[in-house]
Amino acid sequence: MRLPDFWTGLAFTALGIAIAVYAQGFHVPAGAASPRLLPTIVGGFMAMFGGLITFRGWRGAGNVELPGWLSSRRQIALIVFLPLAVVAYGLLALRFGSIPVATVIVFLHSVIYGLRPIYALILGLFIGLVVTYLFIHVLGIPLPAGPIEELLS
Amino acid sequence: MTGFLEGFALVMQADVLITMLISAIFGLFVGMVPGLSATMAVALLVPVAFTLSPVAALATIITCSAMAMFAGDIPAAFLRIPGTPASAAYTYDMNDLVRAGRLGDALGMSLVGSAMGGVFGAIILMFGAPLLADFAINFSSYEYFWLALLGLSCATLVAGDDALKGWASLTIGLFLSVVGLDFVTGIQRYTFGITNLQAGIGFISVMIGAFALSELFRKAAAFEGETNGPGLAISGRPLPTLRSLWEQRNHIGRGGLIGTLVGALPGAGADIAAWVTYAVSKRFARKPELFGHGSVEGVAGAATANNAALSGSYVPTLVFGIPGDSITAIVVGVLILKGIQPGPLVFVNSADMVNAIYIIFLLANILLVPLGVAAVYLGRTAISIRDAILYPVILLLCLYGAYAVSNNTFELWIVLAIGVLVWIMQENNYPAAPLILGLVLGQVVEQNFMSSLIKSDGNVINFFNRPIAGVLGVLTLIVWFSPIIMGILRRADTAPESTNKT
Amino acid sequence: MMLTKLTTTAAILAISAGAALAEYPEKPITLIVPWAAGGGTDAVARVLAGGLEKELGVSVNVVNKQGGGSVIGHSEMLTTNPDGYTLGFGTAELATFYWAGQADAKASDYTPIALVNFDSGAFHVSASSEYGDVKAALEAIKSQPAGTFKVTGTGTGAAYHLAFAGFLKANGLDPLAVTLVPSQGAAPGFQELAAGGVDFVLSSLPEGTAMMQANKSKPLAVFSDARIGAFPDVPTSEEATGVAFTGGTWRGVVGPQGLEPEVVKTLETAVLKVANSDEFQTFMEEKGFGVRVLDAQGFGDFLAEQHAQVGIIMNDLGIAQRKE
Repeated sequence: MRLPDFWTGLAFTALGIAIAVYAQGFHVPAGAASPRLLPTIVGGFMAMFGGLITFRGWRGAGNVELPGWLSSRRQIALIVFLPLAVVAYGLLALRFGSIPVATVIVFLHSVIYGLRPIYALILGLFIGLVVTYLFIHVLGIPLPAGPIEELLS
Repeated sequence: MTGFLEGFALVMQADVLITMLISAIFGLFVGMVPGLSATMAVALLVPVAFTLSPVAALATIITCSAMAMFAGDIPAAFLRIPGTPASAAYTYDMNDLVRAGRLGDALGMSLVGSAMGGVFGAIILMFGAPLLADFAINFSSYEYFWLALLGLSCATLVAGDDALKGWASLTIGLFLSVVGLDFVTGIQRYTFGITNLQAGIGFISVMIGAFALSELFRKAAAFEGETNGPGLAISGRPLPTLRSLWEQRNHIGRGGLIGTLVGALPGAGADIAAWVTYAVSKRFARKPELFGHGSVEGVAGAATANNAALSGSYVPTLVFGIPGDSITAIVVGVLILKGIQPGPLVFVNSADMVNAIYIIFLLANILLVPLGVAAVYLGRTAISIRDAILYPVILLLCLYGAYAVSNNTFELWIVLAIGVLVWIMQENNYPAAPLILGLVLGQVVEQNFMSSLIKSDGNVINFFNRPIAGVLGVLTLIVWFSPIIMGILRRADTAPESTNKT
Repeated sequence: MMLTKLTTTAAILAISAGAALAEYPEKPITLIVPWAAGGGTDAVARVLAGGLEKELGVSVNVVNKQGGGSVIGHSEMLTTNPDGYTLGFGTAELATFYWAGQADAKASDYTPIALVNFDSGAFHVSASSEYGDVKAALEAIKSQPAGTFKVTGTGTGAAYHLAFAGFLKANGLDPLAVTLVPSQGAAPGFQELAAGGVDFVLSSLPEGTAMMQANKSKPLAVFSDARIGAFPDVPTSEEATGVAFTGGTWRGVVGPQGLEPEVVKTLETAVLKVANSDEFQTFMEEKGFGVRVLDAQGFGDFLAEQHAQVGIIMNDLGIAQRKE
């Protein structure tokens, strides 16, 4: 997503000001140390750098360049899929377990990449099972478990 | 000498050697998975280490961390996704070198450098541990503050072409570092009532977002249809030529030295060692313009440094029981559990054990070369798989790796937010490296600054009136203000053409 | 072999048809540890879990949920499903979150199962310090304006910080008389002491062993009722100042709200058995952890008492976000 410097700089300025202003509300306990200090400095500098970038990009403010991937349906699907997959795993894995969610994510992802659905399904099942099993039983990482994981343990 | 032989006898046991080999393979595997760091590899081994003999437990940890540290370079070289945070500094250099068909100069250099750095650090550990530890223990919060501030100045060196955007990226990293529970005052900052945010923004999750997820976005946006692998025709031997190794001798030596010293400082580990060495190498490089676009010099120095730091971190660990980094923090726990109390007496009471540690370090780093070559071949095979299989698997590894950071799905939200943010930033020419640097050093800067202020009752003069702090302070101020002074001087000389480049 | 399997299966089926709870536990139990793998709490939890596996006959998996000064793990063990299959290994910080405004739950909201450990805080000075005993140090603190002396080794509002403030108060001093320089645990605190940045360090006695051996620090007193076995030369608070005072950090097994009493009973019995076993006691002694075992009832009273005490001292220190 290519935006003119004018706008990205402005976004940094706004964020920096928000950070610095919000910091003024922090409770300061007795003593020499103030938890407001660093956030205020960081917010201030962020706003300043953002401002300089905005100023530097003054002239090109109107040159919004649409990204190339908007013209390809597959590229759009691939990009939209990534955040959806993260959200799906984050919300569903605790309820259904890692294996089914991982299987579906890998299956859909490779289908969008153009793999034939039957191969994608085999891949999804294989990766979902093997990688999850390795993480839980070889690495000892307690990934979210559901009914299928309990059967395997 | 007898101690050395006793140590040798302790290591040359079948169970020790077998656990070393297994943990080496384990370390290589974990290091190659984006998001699983060397520290996590060791943490995962803790339950196993409980059941082993003391020497075998130490052998497992040392071997596994050395392997994981190098293995992090493999996905960095092939996929532009660093496997461990310590590889982040020179990821783009390695990838560009591999793209140019110079596998030996990228991964080969980092492999040989890693092994040499590890051996270098181990030798310093053997002969200089008490001396070095006495120096490092004099570092108080004042010295750490200056050191961290000096580290932040590296941001200019890793910023890329547009310095102003590099600085903006740095401020984002610094901001992320203040989110959560303020350690000094115990108050919550920018948590907005979310309990999970009290833990702050985890470094590993940010790494996965900033390097792995954003890279997946980038690949998706550039996907042109059926391609085989990331379009890499990988050629070249997996080891560097002796000539190019000789050319890099200064960078390797400097990397070994800086890495060991940074590692020996309690609280600063391999990540910081790699960044600092990368920045310093750029200062001394013959071709500084290549840094960030495939510089062998950058790879050689920084890859050596991160493994040297592993050895260096054992200096304060053994001498004072003060961990040198997050891995040795675990080592201290395991040592105590095994009935070995780290401290000066460990050299007297458990001399054989200390010697065994040296020998394990040497052995592990020698073992690194053949196993590393095998891992490079494996990685090369793995990425010749077509995109439709490779990227879904990487995405899944990222999801699992993020969850594993704290066994919490909250890490996934951080990965997502940072992934999208960094992707947009990179599309607009804002570099990601300063963001990571800001996040790593932000807390170090603030906590040590605050602690120092508390200790000195708000008196700033104390930042300068200790010998080491004074030198570091003046050095830091020179580094920070010299570009401004130089800039003003230069501007007075030349016509003001380059107003849009600061 | 086959026959045994069949009979077991039949037995399980028969029981599950009857009382649902009689067979608890029937599947793996998760023990949430709110601190990172490889630390002291993690070590104790893993040994305890190993013992519980034998007692309960199911696997007990330690899951580390670190972060936010342990508030995240502690919050999760309170809000988890109260089916008895997810328990927590609570530590002293649990009593501070309510007062620090980090969480809305009080220590007494957790279901107590059993306390297994109590580590008394100790008061260390640099080996080159002019103070030979605590009395001299306290006199010096009293004679100088508040804030002249600095102490470290612990975080703001952490167990040893509160213990130290309580110790000062018990001896008639202002709890704020000595300024805390927060540190991430004992090791960096001892480094500050050695580097000359602070006057005192707070930690358990075993945590100071390396620095004592290196002749960089010396302990002046321990906040406990009796001397600690491995450190017979270190006087207790009462011996050193005449004022009895105990304070420090603790660890125990807790559950979420709403655990069935039968489940609590089963777990309590198992934890007490493990905690009183020779194996556990030897482990704790060797690694320098203090053993203090309390049953569910006693632990519950202990938590309520902790809640009240912590509230008072955190308000004294001005780090509490609420008065009651």
